[in-house]
Amino acid sequence: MITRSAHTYFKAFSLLFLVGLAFGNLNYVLLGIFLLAFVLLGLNVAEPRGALVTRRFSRMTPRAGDVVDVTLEVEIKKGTGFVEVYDELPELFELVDGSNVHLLWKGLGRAAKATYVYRVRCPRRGGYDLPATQLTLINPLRLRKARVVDAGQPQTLIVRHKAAGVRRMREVRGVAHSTRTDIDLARIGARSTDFDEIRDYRMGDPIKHINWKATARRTTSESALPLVNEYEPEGKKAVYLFLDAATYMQAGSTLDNTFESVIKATTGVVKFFLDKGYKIGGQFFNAHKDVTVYPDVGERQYYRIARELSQLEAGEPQEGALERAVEHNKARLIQMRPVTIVITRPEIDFEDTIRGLKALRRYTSTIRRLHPIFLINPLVYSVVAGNDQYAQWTTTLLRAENRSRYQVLTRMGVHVVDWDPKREDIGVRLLRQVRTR
Amino acid sequence: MSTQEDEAADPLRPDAYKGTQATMTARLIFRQFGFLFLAATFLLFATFFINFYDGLLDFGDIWRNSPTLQWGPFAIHSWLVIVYGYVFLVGILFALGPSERSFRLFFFLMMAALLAIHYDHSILDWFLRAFLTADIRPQNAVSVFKILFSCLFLVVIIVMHYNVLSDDFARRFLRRGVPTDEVARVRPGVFKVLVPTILSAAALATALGLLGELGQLIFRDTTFLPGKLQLFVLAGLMVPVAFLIRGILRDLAGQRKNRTQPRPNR
Repeated sequence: MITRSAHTYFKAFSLLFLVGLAFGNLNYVLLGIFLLAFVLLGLNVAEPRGALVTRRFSRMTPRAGDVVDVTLEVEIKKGTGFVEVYDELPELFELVDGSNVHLLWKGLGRAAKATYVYRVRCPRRGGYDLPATQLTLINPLRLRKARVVDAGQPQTLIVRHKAAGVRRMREVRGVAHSTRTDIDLARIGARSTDFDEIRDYRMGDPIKHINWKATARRTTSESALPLVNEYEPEGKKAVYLFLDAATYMQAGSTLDNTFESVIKATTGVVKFFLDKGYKIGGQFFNAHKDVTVYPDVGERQYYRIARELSQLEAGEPQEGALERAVEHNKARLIQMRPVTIVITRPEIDFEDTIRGLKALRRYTSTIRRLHPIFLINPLVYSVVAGNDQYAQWTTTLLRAENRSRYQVLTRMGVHVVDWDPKREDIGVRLLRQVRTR
Repeated sequence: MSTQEDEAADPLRPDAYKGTQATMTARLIFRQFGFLFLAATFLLFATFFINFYDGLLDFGDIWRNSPTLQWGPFAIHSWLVIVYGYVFLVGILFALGPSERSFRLFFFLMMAALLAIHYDHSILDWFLRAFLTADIRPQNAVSVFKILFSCLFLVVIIVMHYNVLSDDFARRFLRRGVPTDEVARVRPGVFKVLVPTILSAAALATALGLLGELGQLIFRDTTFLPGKLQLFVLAGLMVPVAFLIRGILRDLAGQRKNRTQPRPNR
């Protein structure tokens, strides 16, 4: 595709050549040939080609707010002309240093090589697709239209969020507001060698677990069943998270809002429990794409959950979402009887939350024992109110109104933790649950 | 070429852009003035080889018979005023509003000047024979010097075009956020390719003019060979030209296949 400039020169050639031919004027013909020769020679200058682009990141999984160095190595092997090297960045990325657009001149002869380094800040968590580097091959005389080609490979940069610091209070003797898991053991799982009790033999018990001596002593009793040693299962109790990822959880700017704080808090909670050896699973409901995390332990589980959380996008709220999420995880809840942590704003649809919590209670608790359910309620009022005093008073009234509703939840055995993400850290908020003696 | 959009401040490097823009505009106008002076001089030289009155008047007659323009103590020859005035008027308009449209206007007005000075007996003869049934034979319609100076005139016009184009390129790249040191390579890069290209084209045209001239000198007494010789030379030249066109067409066909999606908004 030739440019307008080339068209202009070609028209001028046509004019001179045709007039020269019509009137037999060789001057016109020769001047026309001069223009034609210029256009043809200019068009025949081969544009740059044979491009090789390598892009490297200083960190492939940075944390939100980190600065990442991007190194671009460009090599143009053949041709002559300009090459515009352009790395398209996600909208949210901030260019800290250098430039993501460069211009490389490829002269005749040897290959042109260049290394460009620029720095970007990733302000928000998420998985960011970085398309292949765009090269615009430009004819040096601009007689031919520039051509855009993709070079290199598209890459994905996963920006993780910083986990909130959730700590355990040590050396402080106090009374907790609630009974939280600390030394509860897992209900299912591989058995350890720690002896728990002796019980009657049940179908499926391994023969090697039969306590022959105890069975022999029992021969005088009516029961003829052998006795087996029961060992404690490995690991601690399971913790199940239900995270509400609806759009109403977002209050604030695109980069910094309550949802981001909730994500950080969730990661902090996950890390806290995983570090202590708990099994963690969960369901992120109301999200753009719901996510189920199968309960597991260890560092890998932490990275799995952190990755899912870093890519979590808020979605439109749906009626009965919590209840559906509970139903979806019913089998695992019944099997593990976990401690459950629900992170949502109950005041948005109180009845809906009640239904969900009832379902949760149904699957996690037994007649003998109520398994604890925690509801972390992120308060967005302070973010919405800003510095307006009247708005702050209004939010105080709203909180007071909701407090009566929370009493219903407390009667159900749900422990509600109000947390203002803008004013205090989740770790500090949880520590405040302990009253020192 | 520049557009209104180009004039908008660069969001990425506002300070660098503003400073460079002022410097660029000053340099552009300064260079354009120099180029315009050169263009007008070459046009004037080409005009001296005018053969409009060939056989009727010589150059001295034309120069002497043309009136001078008196302005206070200054007296300027009308030819100088006409040629320099015309070129500077059109050229300054182009320099002040460099755009694709203004370039086309400037270019074709310059071409009109070129056509005017090459207006010779062949056309006049045809006109006289066709409409007035008169016949005046030109002695020498082709002037190699006239072609040489006309080529140089065209060279300067094209260089002026690329001078503006380089600045426009640089401005665009600055606006996109290309570092200033890389943008500084635009002009040398353009001229590195432009100079050999344009010189080759000028040499080709001048060589053809010389061949025509020599042909007429050598084969003056014959009526067959000069025309034939030029035809042979032209035919010989058309072979590489045909290859060039073929290569371009192939390249264009290939480009159509590989055409990518338009660049997204930056």
